Amino acid sequence: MDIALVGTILFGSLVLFMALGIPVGFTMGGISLILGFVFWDGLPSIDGFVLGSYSKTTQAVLTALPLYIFMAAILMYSDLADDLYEVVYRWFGGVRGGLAAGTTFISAVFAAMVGVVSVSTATLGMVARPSMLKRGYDDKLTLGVIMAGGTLGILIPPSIVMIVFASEAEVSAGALFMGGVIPGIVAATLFMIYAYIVCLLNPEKGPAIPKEERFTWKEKFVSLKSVIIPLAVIIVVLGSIYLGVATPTEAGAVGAVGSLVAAGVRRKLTLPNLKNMFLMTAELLGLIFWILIGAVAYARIVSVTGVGQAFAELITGVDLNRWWILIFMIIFFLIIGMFIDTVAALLITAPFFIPALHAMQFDLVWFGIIFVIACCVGNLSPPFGVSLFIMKGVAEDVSIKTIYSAVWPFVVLLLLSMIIVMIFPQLVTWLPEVMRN
Amino acid sequence: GGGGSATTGGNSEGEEVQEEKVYKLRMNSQNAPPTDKESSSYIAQEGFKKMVEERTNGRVEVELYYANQLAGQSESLDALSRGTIDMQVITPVAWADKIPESNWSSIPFGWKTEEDLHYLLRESGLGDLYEEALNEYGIKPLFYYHSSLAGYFSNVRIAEPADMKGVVMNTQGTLKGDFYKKMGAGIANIPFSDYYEGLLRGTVDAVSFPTYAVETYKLGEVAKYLIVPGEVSPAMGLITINQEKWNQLPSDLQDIIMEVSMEIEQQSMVASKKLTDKGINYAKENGVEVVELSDEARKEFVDIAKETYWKAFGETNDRTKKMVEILEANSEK
Amino acid sequence: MKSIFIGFNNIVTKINKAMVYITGIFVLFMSIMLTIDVLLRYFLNSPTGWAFDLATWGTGLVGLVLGGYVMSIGKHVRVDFFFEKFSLRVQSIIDMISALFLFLIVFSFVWLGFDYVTHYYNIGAVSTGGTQMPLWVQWLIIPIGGLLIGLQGLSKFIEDIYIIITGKKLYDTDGVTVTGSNSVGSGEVV
Ligand code: NA
Ligand code: NA
Repeated sequence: MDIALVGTILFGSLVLFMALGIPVGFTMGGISLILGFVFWDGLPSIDGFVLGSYSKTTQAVLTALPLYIFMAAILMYSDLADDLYEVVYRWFGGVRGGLAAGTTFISAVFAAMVGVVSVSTATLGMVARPSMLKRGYDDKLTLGVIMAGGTLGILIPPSIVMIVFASEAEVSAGALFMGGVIPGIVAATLFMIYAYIVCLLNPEKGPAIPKEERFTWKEKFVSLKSVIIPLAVIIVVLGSIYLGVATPTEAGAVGAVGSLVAAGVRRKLTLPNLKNMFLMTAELLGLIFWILIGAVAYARIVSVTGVGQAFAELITGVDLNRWWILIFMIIFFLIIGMFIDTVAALLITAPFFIPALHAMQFDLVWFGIIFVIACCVGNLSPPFGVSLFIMKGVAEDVSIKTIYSAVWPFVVLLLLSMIIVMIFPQLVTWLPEVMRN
Repeated sequence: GGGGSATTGGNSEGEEVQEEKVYKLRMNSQNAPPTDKESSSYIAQEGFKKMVEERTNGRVEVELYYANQLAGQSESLDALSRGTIDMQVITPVAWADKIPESNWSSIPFGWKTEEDLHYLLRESGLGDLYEEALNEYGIKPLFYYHSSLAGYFSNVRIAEPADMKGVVMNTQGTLKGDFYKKMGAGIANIPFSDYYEGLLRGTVDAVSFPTYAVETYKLGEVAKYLIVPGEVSPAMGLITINQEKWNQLPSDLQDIIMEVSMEIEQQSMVASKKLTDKGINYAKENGVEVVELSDEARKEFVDIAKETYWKAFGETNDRTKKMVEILEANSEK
Repeated sequence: MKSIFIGFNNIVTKINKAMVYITGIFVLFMSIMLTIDVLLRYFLNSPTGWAFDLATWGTGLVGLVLGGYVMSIGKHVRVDFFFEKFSLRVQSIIDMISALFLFLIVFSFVWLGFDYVTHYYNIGAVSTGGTQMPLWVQWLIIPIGGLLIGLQGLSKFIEDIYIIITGKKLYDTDGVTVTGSNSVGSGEVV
């Protein structure tokens, strides 16, 4: 059968059934079983499906997933965000726009602890937003900085998306982690500058706390003690990787135990909390793995039918600069990211993109970071975005329309960060380079 | 699996149109696509494909799927025996959970040179014993390709077994683990994609890998020493085919494929040596200190290997017992 | 008849929710075990050799057996952009197509999964990683994972038929909040 026709059937049926609202994992798995039966010699293709599911779910690289997700769940239910926010409030409350910039800063700190977007967005949405609104901050600005800051959770290490990318592209999760640090800081800095400038131009959007309500230096310093535990967790996770004590996977375990200790110290390890931690871990794990099962099957059908190779040849054969091809890939991904979860989008596009990127000899770690920034955009871009839905969940009084309009400036800033990283690959490679020497 | 399709062969002038069946063989490979055309991996995969297709006048087509695209390493055994794929490129040890005889391919210090390994595989009877085990699983081995000497990329200078004490060695499997533990080494298990970072950060002190990795995988940037010869010298890969699929091929095609297989195996031995030299020279030129084990030191390693891995492997079943006897006899030559 | 279906749904949902605690405790145990392993390697140069292997297999175990739970709370990732605008009946029709896909997966998992389990049992295959667990035990996660999500899918399928016929829901699933007050939104991963 003509390869273009097979490709159309493969991709067309995926889009059709997903658009109808059939879960992503079932769509990919079901299509793969049916098309596998047709194009891959019948029954043996079902063996391939089952064998693939077993090998993917028990793949060594993915051992990191339950560990980092559990860690995120522990941090989520130990109310660390409250104390961290108190620090921001005491230190930056007196500056015009200070709380907005400070919230971004706290988001970045939170991002360095957890690898999932939902946790930072939900916690800060609950903690920071009411306080900022009470201080007269503009609602859109407040929503924007919280969602934008939260999405950095996957760019600043550790990061679940990076672990999944590492598994798909067969690059080192550790290298991706280190490569994400500076781009993450760049993005966070852009957010802070933006928040500050907005408040400078429109003072009513981010008023300073009245003089009489400001904190003394002593009160400011006392609040800093709550930074100790978050810092310790960050140091334990990233430090153990950097110092070679633990592999990136093991660091997830060390981080989870560290967070448990921290939660215990703060007397947050109650049974109801533990139950919530388990529930959150179970939900995220179950849904990621059942997408993975469908995705690995789909990737194999894309391979065995020759569609993937044809696509890679088509792309690399186009008489275009490889940079244009890269840009088209990202645009394509950004469009998919508007409608679907980013991890799912990664798993759907990987069988097409990774071989093409190999063929064009792009550095996959560097691309990985650009890709993760695209995932950050995907989380924010309407109509479908994790951050948007979580924000709506936490801020029930706000309409989804307001949330949509609040994120646009930050989507632009993230795209700007992406362009910066594309132009200056050193931002990704510099830190790992320095750490080597 | 089926996968055959009828196409039109014969001469271009169309006087006589003869229907000839084209056999398509789906070959799944554990390797990333090789780029170096002189590497044994390239010769064994791309070279094999090209030569088979040419010599059968296109009656056999080999479709290559690199990087475990159609089946994971360990699961490829069942995928192959059930016809999900027709051929598989594998390091035998990856199948050891289901065919314990496969552990021979990773046996430490079992042979010294390409000729030595060739003798074991093709003359000593060891290769036949392994073939029996594969046949029981419905699989036919076609040929081995020698893939250059595997040395230790290490940040600790290892000149004798005593130096292994306290070294964190990356290794897989219980048998290998016991071999290193016996020398006082600690073991770690990190995936291949993390070797570079693992050596860089010191999570592991040493990994065992073919020498060509100094250049292609840049391990030379993060390892101070390259210790040769390492535990398997040379390392090898195996190209296998589903037995039923093989039986479906007309005997003239079988003959051609076997002939090509033997030629490629010979070519790979030459390439393997070149690759070893290339790797070692590259290491020297790029500031990696090459430590060559003395005969005495190697002998000590062999003795420890015999007490641990060889012994445990030999105790697995009757076949492995015979395999170890052959290895013992060969090592005392 | 109706009460049989409701009873079936209750039992299946209970079993799947129990998986949350089994897997939770397992992940907790994994974290502690791997941390100890790191310390053993770093300070004493003598890691266990089985901890990582167990955790790797355990990850597959955890991921696979949780499919049913995620189904029970309706959180499998989907594009709900159009879906949420459909009527209950239309949603149920789509969910029936979805169930057909799911049943294909479940059928493969259960049938071939048990086939592999018995095959590995017969040949006495043993994991070569550190755990040296029999392979048939490890492979049980495929048929069991399939069965768990399959039963939940079946229960949902029954309700879909009921909704298509009567236009009303069969089970009282409203007000099921599972992740507590900080519930993660609907159908997203991270
Ligand atoms: Na993070
Ligand atoms: Na989006």
